Amino acid sequence: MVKNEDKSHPGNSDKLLLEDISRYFDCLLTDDEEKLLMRRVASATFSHPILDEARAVMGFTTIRSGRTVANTAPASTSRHHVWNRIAGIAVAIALTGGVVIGIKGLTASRVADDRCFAYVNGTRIVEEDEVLRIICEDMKELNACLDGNRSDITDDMETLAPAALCFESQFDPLL
Amino acid sequence: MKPYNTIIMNRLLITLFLWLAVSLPGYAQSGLEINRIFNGRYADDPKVSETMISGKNKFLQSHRLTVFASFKGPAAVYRQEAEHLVLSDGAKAIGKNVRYLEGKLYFALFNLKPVNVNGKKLNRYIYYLNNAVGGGGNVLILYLEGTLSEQDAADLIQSLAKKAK
Repeated sequence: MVKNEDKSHPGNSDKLLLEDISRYFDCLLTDDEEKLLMRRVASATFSHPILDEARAVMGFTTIRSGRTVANTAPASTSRHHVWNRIAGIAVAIALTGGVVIGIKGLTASRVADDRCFAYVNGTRIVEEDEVLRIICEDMKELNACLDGNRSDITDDMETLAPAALCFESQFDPLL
Repeated sequence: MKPYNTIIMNRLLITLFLWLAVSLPGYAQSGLEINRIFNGRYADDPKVSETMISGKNKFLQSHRLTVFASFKGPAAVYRQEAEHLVLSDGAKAIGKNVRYLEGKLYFALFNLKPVNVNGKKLNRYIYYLNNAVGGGGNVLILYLEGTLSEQDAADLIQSLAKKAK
């Protein structure tokens, strides 16, 4: 198990860092050494006035004593944020589009598409006159049945009527 | 914290469900069982005739209709399915006229619950005829949708029948 270090006090490597910072202030570092030092300053985890001063001079605006390595390098997390944002925008577009298309489709379909066709003998017919002729033929059969239906009901009523009258005559509400 | 691909999947699923919820309550005849027999499903059968007129059409407008659909096919092949579909829709009807002959459904008229489209109340009627029982050989389904009354529908059938040669 790793022993927790007291991050408020510099260790040996940190002392070296402080020395390098002093050399930085004395302008004794090369350009490459300066770049390296900036990275080390950025990722330093201990607190020291010299370190804070170096951060201020180097342009690090966030001067926090408890700064951690994890905080300084959240590259993968930020990538996730970017992806989330892209996904969010894509979903919002899809949602808006879907709702618009859905509403349009709904309106169109409820109003009913303009269609006029018939299938006869396995072929599709789109001429309106021909479609209407087929409809008339079909309605002839249905109408014959409707006529038959009406006469059936009339016949039934004629059969029932005498029975109803007979039943009525046997019932005298005044008795 | 959830992985970002899980978040994306969740959002996509929600989008899909919302889209389906909005777009599914579709076509005229939507939600009706008889829809299964229409739309050219049996168009390959030379003994089947199907007609469909909908939308802005002079014939429809002159009879206060928005949809006129009919299906006719040999009773020996289609009676069972047609009867089942019609009776399924008829179970929810607000008005019925059903006649059986020789123990079989011979004629049915179902007045379905009207639908509201763009503020208009559209009546819906399903007619079914199995004239195989009466000596013919076909089953016939007729679907009418529009502002016409039941009497108008009967008169329309009569007037169309008179035009047949």
